[in-house]
Amino acid sequence: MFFLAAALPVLFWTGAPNTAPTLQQAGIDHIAVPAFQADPWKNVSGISVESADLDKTVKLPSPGVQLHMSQASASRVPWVNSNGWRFMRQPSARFSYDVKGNTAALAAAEAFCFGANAVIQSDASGLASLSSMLKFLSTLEGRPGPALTDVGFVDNGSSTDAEVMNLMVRDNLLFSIVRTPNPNLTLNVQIGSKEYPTQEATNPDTMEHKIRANLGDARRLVRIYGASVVVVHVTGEQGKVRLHLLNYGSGQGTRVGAFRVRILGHYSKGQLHSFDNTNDQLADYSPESDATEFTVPGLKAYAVVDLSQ
Amino acid sequence: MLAAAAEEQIPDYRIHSRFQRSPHPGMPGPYKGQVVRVHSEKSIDSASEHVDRAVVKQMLSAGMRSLTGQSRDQDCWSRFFTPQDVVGVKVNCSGAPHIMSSPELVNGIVENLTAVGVQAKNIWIYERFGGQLESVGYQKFVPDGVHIWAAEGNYTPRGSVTGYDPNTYVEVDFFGEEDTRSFMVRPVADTFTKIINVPKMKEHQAAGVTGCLKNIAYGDFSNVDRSHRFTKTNTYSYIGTLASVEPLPSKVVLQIMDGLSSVWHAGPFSQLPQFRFYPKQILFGTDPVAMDHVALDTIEAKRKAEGAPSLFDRSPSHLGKDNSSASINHFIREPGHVEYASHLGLGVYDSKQIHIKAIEL
Repeated sequence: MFFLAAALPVLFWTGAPNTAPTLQQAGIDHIAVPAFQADPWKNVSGISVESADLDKTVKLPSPGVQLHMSQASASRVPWVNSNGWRFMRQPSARFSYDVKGNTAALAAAEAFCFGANAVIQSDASGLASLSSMLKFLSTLEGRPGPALTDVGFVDNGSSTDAEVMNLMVRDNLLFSIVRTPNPNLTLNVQIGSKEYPTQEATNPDTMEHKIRANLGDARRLVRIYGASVVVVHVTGEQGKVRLHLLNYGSGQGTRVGAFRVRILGHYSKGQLHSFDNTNDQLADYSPESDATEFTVPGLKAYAVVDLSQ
Repeated sequence: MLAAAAEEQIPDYRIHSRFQRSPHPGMPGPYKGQVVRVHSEKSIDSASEHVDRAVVKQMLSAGMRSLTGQSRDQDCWSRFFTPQDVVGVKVNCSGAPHIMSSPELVNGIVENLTAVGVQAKNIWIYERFGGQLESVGYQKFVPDGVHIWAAEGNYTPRGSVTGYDPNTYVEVDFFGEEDTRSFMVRPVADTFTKIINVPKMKEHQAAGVTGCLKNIAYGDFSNVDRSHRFTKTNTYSYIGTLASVEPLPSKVVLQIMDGLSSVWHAGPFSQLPQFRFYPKQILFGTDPVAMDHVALDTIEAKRKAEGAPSLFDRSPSHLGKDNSSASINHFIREPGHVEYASHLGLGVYDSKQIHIKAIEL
C-alpha cells in the first residue's frame, strides 16, 4: 500500500488555507504546496499536506491530442501528445503538470500509468475531474511487475532519440530504455548504429516506421484496433498482465467508442476496471493459443485490464 | 493521359473469416453477366427531385420480372427469399439528403419482401453511419418493426467497433497506418441470411464510380477511408477484396441500383448541385461487376457530354483540392476496380459478355 500511495499523483495547490472548502467540496484530501505555505496548511483538518518545489521538477507539456485537419489526406488520425517517453527517460525525476479541466484527470492517469512521480497544478476547473481520477487510481491494486516491452531502445539523450521515442509511444510500439542491447527483447534499436543511421532519424517518422517494420506487427505484444488516440502501457509478471489504456482525447471531453485489443499470449481471464463506469465489461473475449483478443466497450479517460492465465 | 487500370503492386491483404462460400453464392449469382435497365421519364422530377412512388413500383416490378422471367411479382421475389429469411437491405446514404438510395425504392423492396412472407422484424435497412441514415428518414416509408440500423453513430459512438464482427476482418497496411484492420458489419456476419444491395449510381472521386461493389465493400467494413492518402487511393484492389470476403458473396443475392438521380463529379457526396444529373433508371441483376460496368459507362458518357476528363484520366494536372471544377479531382481515380473484381470471381466485366435488357416505361 505504501508503494501505491507513493505512486499516486498529487494536486499542487497555491491557494491559501482559506481555500480549503473548495478542495474539500471537490473531494481532495491531500495536496502539495510551496514550502512557505506548508505550515499554515498543517492546521487545516481533513487535508494532509506535503511541500513541493516546482523549480525542482521536470515541467511537462499538457497531454492531449491535436487534430490535423488541414492535411490533404483521408487520414483523420490526430496527433497524440504523450509524456510517456519523458517518464521513461527520467524514471527517478519528479514531474509537474500545469493543466486545466478534464486534462487534470488525464495527467493524473498518465503519470500513474507510467509509474511517474508527479504533482499536478490546476485551478478550480480541474479539481472535480482530478479528484475523481485520484479516487479511482487509489482503488486499483498494485502494479503487477515491471513494464513489458518489445523493443530495447538505447537512448543517447538526444532530441532526435526523444522524437523517435515520442512516436513509438504514440503508436504503441512498446519499448524500454536500455543501456546496451537486451537479447531478451524482440528488437533492439540504437540510433547511430549501422542498422539505424542518425541521418535516417532526422525524419523520425521514417525511423519509427522502420522500427515497426523490423519488429513486425505480428510480433508486437499489443495492438489496438478502432481507436487512434488510445495509448497502451503494459506491466506484468508470472502469468499476470495489466494493460493501462489512456484516452488522450479525454482532455477535450472526447470519449472513445468501443475498440479491439490484441495481446500476445493466452489469458483465460480478463477483468476491466474503468474510470468511466464500474459496470463496463470486456466484450467478445477470445483467448486463442497464441494471442488473446477482446473489445473494450468505450473509454472516457483511463482504464486498466487485468489479464491472468 | 489515360490508363486502363492501375498497374500497381497489390497490397498484402490478410483475410480472416470463419465462413465458407455457399455452393450457390449470391454474387455473381444466377444472372451472371445480365443487367436489366428500366428507364422512366416519369420516375423523378429533375427540378424538384420528387420521386414518383407509383412509377418506381412499376419499374421495380418490370425489372424483377425481366430479370427472373417470372410473370408475377411474388414469384420473382420468391426466387430469392423465403419467409424464414432475415434480410439486410444495404442502402447508400453518403450523398443524403439529395443523393441516396431512394426511400421510395426501399419502400417497394420492403413491400415485396413482406409479400413473400418475410416478417417486418426480419428486415434490416442498414448503413455504416447513423447520422447519414437518419437524415433520410426511411422509417416513414416502411412498416413498423423494420429495423433501421447503423454500425456506427446510431446505437454506438462513431468509430466504435461494437457494430462490427470482431472475427471477420481484412488486415492490411496501406500507408503505415497503425490501425490495420477493417472489420465486417456485425449483422452481415451473424444475423442476415440474405442481403439486397441497393447502391446509388454515382461518380466517386477515389474509386471512379460507386455502385454495387463499392457499396457492398466499403459500406460493410470499418476503417476503410484509410485506403486513401493525398492523391493515392487503394480502391483499385481493396473494393474487390472486401466484397469477396465471406459471407458477403454468399449472402448478397440481389442487386438493385438506384440511378434515378446521380452525381457525375465530386462524388460520392453531393454538396455541389451542378454535378447532379437524372438518368431516371434502375438497374437490376445479381452480378455486381456487370452492373457497375453499366454504371461506369453511364457516368463516363455524362462526363464526356459535359466536357469533363474521363474517369480513367490519371493526369497529375487534373489533381487539386478545389473540385468545384469538373476538371479537378482530389485523387487519381481507380475505376479499374470494377474489372479487378471480375478477376476475384465476382462477375463479368467484358462488355461482349454482358447482356443488357433495356425496358422503357
